[in-house]
Formats: sequence, C-alpha cells, structure tokens
Amino acid sequence: MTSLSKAEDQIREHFSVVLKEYGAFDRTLSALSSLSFILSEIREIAHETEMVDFRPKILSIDADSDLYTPDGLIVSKRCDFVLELKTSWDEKDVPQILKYGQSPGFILPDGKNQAFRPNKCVLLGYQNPPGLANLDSLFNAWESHKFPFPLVVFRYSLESAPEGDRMYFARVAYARNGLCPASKLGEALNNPRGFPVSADRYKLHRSRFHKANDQVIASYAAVIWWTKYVKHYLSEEQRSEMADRGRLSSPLVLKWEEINTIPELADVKVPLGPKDVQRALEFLAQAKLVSFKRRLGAYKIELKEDRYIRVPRDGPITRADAQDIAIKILARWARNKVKAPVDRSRAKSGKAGRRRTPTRDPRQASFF
Amino acid sequence: MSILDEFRAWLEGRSEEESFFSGTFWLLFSRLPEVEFHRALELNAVSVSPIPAVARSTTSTVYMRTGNSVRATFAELPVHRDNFRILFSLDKPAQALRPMYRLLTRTRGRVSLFPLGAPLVKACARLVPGQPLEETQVLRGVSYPTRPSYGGADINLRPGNASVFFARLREDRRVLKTAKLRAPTGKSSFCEFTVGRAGYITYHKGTLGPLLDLVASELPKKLSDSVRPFEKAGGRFVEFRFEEPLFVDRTNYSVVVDALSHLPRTSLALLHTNPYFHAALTNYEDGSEFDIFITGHSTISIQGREEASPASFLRIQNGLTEQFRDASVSLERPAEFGMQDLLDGQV
Repeated sequence: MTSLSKAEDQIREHFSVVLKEYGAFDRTLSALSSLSFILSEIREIAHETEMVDFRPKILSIDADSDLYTPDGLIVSKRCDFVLELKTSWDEKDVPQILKYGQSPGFILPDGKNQAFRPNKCVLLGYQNPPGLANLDSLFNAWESHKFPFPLVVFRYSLESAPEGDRMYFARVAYARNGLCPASKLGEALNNPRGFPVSADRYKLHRSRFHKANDQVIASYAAVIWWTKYVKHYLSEEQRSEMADRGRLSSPLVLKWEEINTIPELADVKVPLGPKDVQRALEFLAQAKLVSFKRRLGAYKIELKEDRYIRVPRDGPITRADAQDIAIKILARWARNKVKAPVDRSRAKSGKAGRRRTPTRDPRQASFF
Repeated sequence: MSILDEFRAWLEGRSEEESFFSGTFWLLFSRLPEVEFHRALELNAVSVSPIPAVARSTTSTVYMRTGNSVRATFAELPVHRDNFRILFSLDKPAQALRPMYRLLTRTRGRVSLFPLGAPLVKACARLVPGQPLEETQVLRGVSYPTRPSYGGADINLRPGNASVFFARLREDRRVLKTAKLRAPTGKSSFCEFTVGRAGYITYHKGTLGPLLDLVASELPKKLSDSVRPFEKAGGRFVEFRFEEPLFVDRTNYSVVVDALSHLPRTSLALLHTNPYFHAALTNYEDGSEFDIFITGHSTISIQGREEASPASFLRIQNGLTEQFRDASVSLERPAEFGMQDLLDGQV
C-alpha cells in the first residue's frame, strides 16, 4: 500500500513538473504571437516595420562559429531589434545575450549578410523576471562590454481580465535597465504602464508558432506533432480510408529515415524541425502512444477517428482536465515514466535494427 | 426533348428493369474552373457513353489490404451552378463511397462533397411544393446516437412519416447518416430515393422528374447559398456569435467539444481550455484543418488552414447548430488599431 502511494506521488510530481513546463512554453508562444500581431496590425508600428523574422540567423563575432538563432529580428525604419524570450532566469542567459550584443549583422532572406545599424537594441523577455542579483550580474556583464546600444529587459505574462485573457508586456523596473531607441515599438515597450494584447487579437497569429526559433521542449513538440503533423504522413490510400471509415485498418508505420522529412504546413511561421520531431517521438514513445519497432527501424502509431488517448484510472488527471489532449499525453507520460519506463537500451538497438530489410507490406511501411 | 429529359427517361427505364436499383448523384463543391476540375478528377472524354447526357467519366479503384478491390465509375452530368457540380454513378453508394473519397483525395481538397445536414435532408423530403411532409414516408433512417467509435452501431430509426422522423431526430439530437424516403410526386405517383449525409442522393424507383429538378436546380441554389459566407474566409476567422454569453461558465466548453467530436470522420484535439479554448480539428473527408478558439464569452472563432473547403466549414456549422441555437455567422473584420489603442490597453 505504501509503495503504491509512493508511486502515485511520484506520478503526480512528474506530471506537475511537465505540465508547468508545458504551460510556460505555451505562454512563450502566445507572447511571440502577440508581438507578431502588434508588428503587423498596429498601424504606426506596422508602418515603421520593414522586416520581421521569427526564425532569424544572426552572425557570430567569430566567422568560424555557428550562426546565432534568437527568437526574433525586427528591422524597423529607425532601429534593429534582436528579440529573445525566456521562461525564467538561467546563468547561460548572460553569455547568450552578450553574443547577441556582439553580433555584427544578420542574414537576409535572400542569403546575403546585412550589418546591424548603430541604432540596435536587444530585447530580452522573461515570464518570471530575474531577481535583483541576477539582473545585476546581467547588466554588469552587458555594461562591461560598453555596447553603444541598450539591452531592454521586459516581462510578459498571461493575465485574466473581465473582458477576456490577455498577454501583458511591461519593461522591468530596474534602474540600469535600458530604454528602447526612438521608434513606435520602442515607445510601447518603454511605456511605464506596459501594454496588453488580448487573446482575441493574437489568436490569429497563434497557429503560426509551433516553437520558438531555437528550441522546443519535448512535451510541447509531442503534443503539437501528434495533433498537427501526424496526419500529413498519410498516403493517399490511407487518407481515403480515413475519409471513409474514420480510422485505419492497420497502424501507420513511420520509418526512422522518414522522420527528417517534415510535412510543410501552410501558414506556419516557425514549424518543428527534424530534431524536434525526434524528441516528440521519444516523448510519445515514453507515453506509450507510439512504439518503436526495432526490427522495422520504425515508429508505429495507431491512428483512429479521434485518436482517442486512454488515461489509466490512477493517472494524475482531474475530471475537469479530462478532455484536454495535452493533459492526457502528459499524464500518460508521467504514469509510464514511473510505472513502465521505456527500456533505453532497446531503443538504441532499434537504430541498428533499421538496417534490416522490412518484412511488411511496402504500402504500410511508407507511413504510420 | 432536353438532354436531361433524355437522361431521366433512360434512368426511369433502368430502374424498372432492376428490383434494387441505385443511381447516385454525387454533389460536389469545387472552385476550380472547368478544365482544371476535369483534370483534377481525371474526368476523361467518352466517345460513346451508355448514359445519356454524359460526355466525361472517370473510374476510381481502391485496393484493400485483403487483396480485394472496389471500383466505381463516375460520370459528369451537365449541371453546373456557381461552384456546384454533379457526378453520377450506377453503383450502390455504400460501395462507391470509398472510391469517391479516393477520387477526392487526389484533388487535395480542391474538390469535396457537399455535406447534407438534417435541414437539407428534410428539404429533400418534399418533392412537390406544398405537399405535406406527413405524406412522405421514411423507409429507413440511419443515424448516429453518438460517435460511432463510442461503441454504438448505427441505429436504424423506425420507419414512419417524415414529419415525425425529423422531429424525433431533432429531439434526440442524433446525427443523420442516411434516410431512404418515399415521397409523393402526384396523386398516385411517388419517387423512392436515399439521401446521404456525406453528400449524395440515390434514386431507386418511381417518377424521377421532381427529384431531378431538385438535384439539378433547387439543391444547387440552396447549397451555393449555404457556403457563401465561408467562401470568402481565406485565412480569416469565421465567427459563430451567440446572443447569450454562453462561455462565461467554462464548463460550457465541454458542450463545444461534444458538438465538434460528434462530427464523423474528424479528429479533434483540444490543445487547452485554460486560459482560453483552443482546439485543432481535422476533417478527413476532404482533409480540411481548422483551429478553433473561444476567447470571449459569446463567440466561437474558427480559422481554416489554407486549403480548408467551404463545404467543411458547413459540416462544422451543422455540428454546432445541432447543439446551439441562433448563432449568427460572419467573417471577422480586420481590426484596425493605432498606437494609442495599444497604450490605452484597448488591443
């Protein structure tokens, strides 16, 4: 009885951690959507904005190093903004932000290099603003480089208001915090009262972001891949079967080497990449929603009409959450992490297994 | 004698020769110009057709995993209004549906079946204007008591008069799949036909004229009108606005989920309900994808992905109107905001 209770506690703990992480990442994407909205829909800001890139590549100071990938690059008529959004403070933020400060330029859509103008600004957003000591260390490092342009730290948070939910942006009140250069976007961020963007407004842009530019957490990748990408792997035969019967008569088999071919989804600005899909599949395998078949070198996925996910009775899920697919996936993952963890050694040997000749029907082998 | 009169006479003749005859009219929606439409469906010219009025046809074959195959031939009828077109087949709809979906899959959403919700099926039950609905008999009705995957087989409702049938359907909130009807066409004549929710009408026997009029002229107008709000959607949101603030209480979200889950051949993923409602819906019938949001108290906002068909929007509307009444449908107006609105917290 005690061990059962201990296992349940562990499940709840894992679930709580992964759910918090998932929610925080979701809010980051909502913040990106809000910024995307104001950059294109607020008349004066849109008029001033010449280029917005939410998958930018900026040059490193050392030509031999990899390009940096902040979350956004906004080129306005008067200023170049480099944007990075964080959930909460991490010591690694300091060197990352310094690199963005040192970056001499960025890559244009046509592949050419473009130098930053002197009027540059680094925008660093946090859901949980850093404490005073961490801000001190950040600005000590920033000021030691004597950059001739500002670092502006702001917070973003999702708030409930009587008229609906909204994403709220406000510059952090800290004496050494920078002020944005003269520009309309800067004016909004410098506003002492901050500014909100209602969910009703930014929802139009919300579906365009499946991740922030340089990373996605595994749980979010799993949910978004399961809900948005998986159906695009269906062959024509399988699509017609889904249209006719609402389910496939056999599992979809996604071969290991096919994972790198990500379906292109219309109107998605920042889609998942191959590494994200691998992480998603690993997470789904841990949740026992996908099984890795080492003899086939492939992932097998059961696809049904509603792709119904059963959560075991002792899962850490309340009735109120019961219809939420993200909650279901996370709950299954937490339970299986404690009660039936995936044997990693088998998964590794699966990579070797992919060299074997598949023995199944070739039509089935192409996808799920 | 017009070309459709020739077709009518031929079809009536065929139905008399066979005891269980099926001639199915497939109601299609497509914004493609004629040439592109023919190319997308691989409708090839036929030099000599056994069916009058038919100049083009195509055959679709589906190979099953068992090794068997199902095949159906679809012929284009010369009926075209706005974005409405008709294909005709001589196979039973249950056998031809899968090849039809196979055919439509090739077009990647550019051609789709027009869904026939219960109100349109009801409209089909009256072939002669002014004829009481009570005089139309429902010979067989198949409806979903709930999602088919929730363990329930399709339920055959007891045959009866159409008025009682549709009233009961509404009361029980069932989703109608097919209804086989016997509608009077004169004092002593009738027409027997089946209407399928997926988007087809199958003629079995009797006087074809009024049914053909319905299929060739009345129905195209009704269907064209019904999708007009959705044709201009593009990537914009279609808003279903209710008079009452239904979503102040977030427990009502579950009713929306129920309504959307009720749609056959769809998958619904509720991404989250907190802080606002966001769901992703795929309709496998034509591959359309939607994001569904509830961010206010009285509006459901639906955004179709690029290739989302108006017919698929119509399926969602049918699903929602079975659960909620009095929703006005409109396209979200592009918002215009200035800097002061942003700083005043009005965005």
